[in-house]
Amino acid sequence: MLEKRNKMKWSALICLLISVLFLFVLNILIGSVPISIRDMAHVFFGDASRMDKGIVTILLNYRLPQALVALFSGAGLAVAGLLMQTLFRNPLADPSILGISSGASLGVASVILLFGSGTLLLQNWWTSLGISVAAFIGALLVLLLILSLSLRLKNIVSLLLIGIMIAFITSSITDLLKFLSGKEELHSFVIWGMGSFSNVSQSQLPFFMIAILIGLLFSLFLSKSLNMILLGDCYAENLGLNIHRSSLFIILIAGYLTALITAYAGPIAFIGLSVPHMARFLFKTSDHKILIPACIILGMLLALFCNLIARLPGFEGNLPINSVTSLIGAPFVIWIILKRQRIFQQ
Amino acid sequence: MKRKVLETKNLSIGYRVSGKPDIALFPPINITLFEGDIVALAGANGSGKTTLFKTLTDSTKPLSGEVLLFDKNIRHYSATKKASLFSIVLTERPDDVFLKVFDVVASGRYPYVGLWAKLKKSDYEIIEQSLKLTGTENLIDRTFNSLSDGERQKVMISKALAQNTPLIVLDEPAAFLDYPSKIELTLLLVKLAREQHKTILFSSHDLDILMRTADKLWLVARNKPLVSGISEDLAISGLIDNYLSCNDLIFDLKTAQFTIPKQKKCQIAIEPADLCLQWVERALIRKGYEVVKPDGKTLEITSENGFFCFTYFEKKYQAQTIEELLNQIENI
Repeated sequence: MLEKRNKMKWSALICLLISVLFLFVLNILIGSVPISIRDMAHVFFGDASRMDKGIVTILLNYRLPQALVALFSGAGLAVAGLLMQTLFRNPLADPSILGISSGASLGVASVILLFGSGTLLLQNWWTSLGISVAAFIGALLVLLLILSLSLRLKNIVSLLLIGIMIAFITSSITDLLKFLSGKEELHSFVIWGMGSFSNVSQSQLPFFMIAILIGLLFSLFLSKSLNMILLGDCYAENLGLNIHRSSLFIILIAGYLTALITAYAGPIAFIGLSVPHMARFLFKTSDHKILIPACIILGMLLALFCNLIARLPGFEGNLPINSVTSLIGAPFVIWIILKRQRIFQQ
Repeated sequence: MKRKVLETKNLSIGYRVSGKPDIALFPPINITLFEGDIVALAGANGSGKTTLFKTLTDSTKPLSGEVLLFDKNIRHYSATKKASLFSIVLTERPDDVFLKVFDVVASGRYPYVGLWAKLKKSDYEIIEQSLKLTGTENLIDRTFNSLSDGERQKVMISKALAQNTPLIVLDEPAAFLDYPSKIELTLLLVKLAREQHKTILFSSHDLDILMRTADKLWLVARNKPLVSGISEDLAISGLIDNYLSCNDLIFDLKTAQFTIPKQKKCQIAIEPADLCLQWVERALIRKGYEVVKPDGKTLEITSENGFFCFTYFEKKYQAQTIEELLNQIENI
């Protein structure tokens, strides 16, 4: 009688996967230049040489990379958010809580604002790579700082406080840089800060996807530790978990995913915070063996959905993805909290 | 001779502040816990009970000396091996909203399963049995948060049982419980020790639980040597009073409870022949009267045809309830 419990709800997962596929296709078709399904099929599965060069370029150089970046960023951020929420046993935790994304911002601010790559930004391959590298280095430095501090700290709450303090320090340095820089550089930086799934060049795309996949794969191995941590540190330790080592791993994986995504797509808000709540609510479980795959798929879904909204015809150019994720994510979290209260009041 | 489960050798515990000499809470401790025993660690709040408890379960380092778990220093075990030797039940509770009773109990199997935490058929059987032993099998699909305090405690004990360890260690298991749940808990602990041959160590400052459950008490108080003995001996020798009492409380040997010494109002005689009169005696003691054996001179309460009666200056008083009786005595 017991065996049926905590089994993956495959039907729900498959439904979600189909939705992901559906949204992925919509992401490719819809935009300022609408593309028909037949064109898309021709480009991907048929003979592309007979197609209109313009459409092929739009598809392969813009739409497809953007949809893929959204897919992988959404999954990575959602998992990073889940790891942070469980580790700190705090429903408000998200990937940016340890100051890792502010570290990335500082890295980017140093490059854009100090070396002034202003107008060249985003279109030029070298600058876009330079910005990604700067962001990654900034995030990595903060991550290393956090990891080395976590070796000295026994209490996970102190670590959380220190992370928030580091975020304050890095963002005030960023503010100082902003204050000292020229108008054009400032504009470029603000644009970067709004996040975008279209900054990854085609040549870097495979690297980005593989790197995220590795992070996601490792996160799957953390589910047992995360389930134990959920019970409280003392219980987890009594069940044979080395709390210190596991925390280190969790921070490392979450930080790695956050650093990578922030480096390529800018600081993207709210996916990391809201998707774990959606996953818990939808699957009604706290078992990470189910929650991690659920977060991966729901993260993809939300990111694709937000990207689609940001690019709907009528909005000339792309809306800043950050505003869209917050506008959609926040009301959803509010709705879940209200709904959840009703369930558990009974 | 029963097997030694837990033993301490010159164990000194306390606080270590850098640059200052260590502050030890008690003189060095040498105690032994034998297989199948229920031992209670008793001490007032702030006596260092929790620190000793943490040291015995290896979550705090001792200042000096060692804790032996099955004849081997507890610090030399691997985390997984330790997880199969003792399980803990704490006052601290997990509070995730979606956490199910099943998840909590199933986590007891984690030391025995691989990285994927895949449960085998035998694991499910153990989980089911653990739930049955504590009578919580009907709670399995509830969320842990929706349970009452008593139910949560039983579920946590099921988790400890699923962990399948010879030793179960419980920190303040009776805290937050209402009276019937406390009694249920003591019965459960005794059952586990007698029928499942578990060795049980628990801490408490609840005298009622201590006296009902424990085969042996370990009494602690700041700067006093730890005393080990069975509760009845410790009560008679005045050690319970000495170690657990505070301020003006005294340990009443007759009722086995701590009481506030009251000014005795006056003597009343009663022969507690039947149950009703025994309850009258309780009420009188609670109200601060000194109850003595009837000697013909003191005012005596008797029971006649379902009425409580007494005679005072030739006048006969009758009362139907104890409340009425007490009022009449107060008024004269």
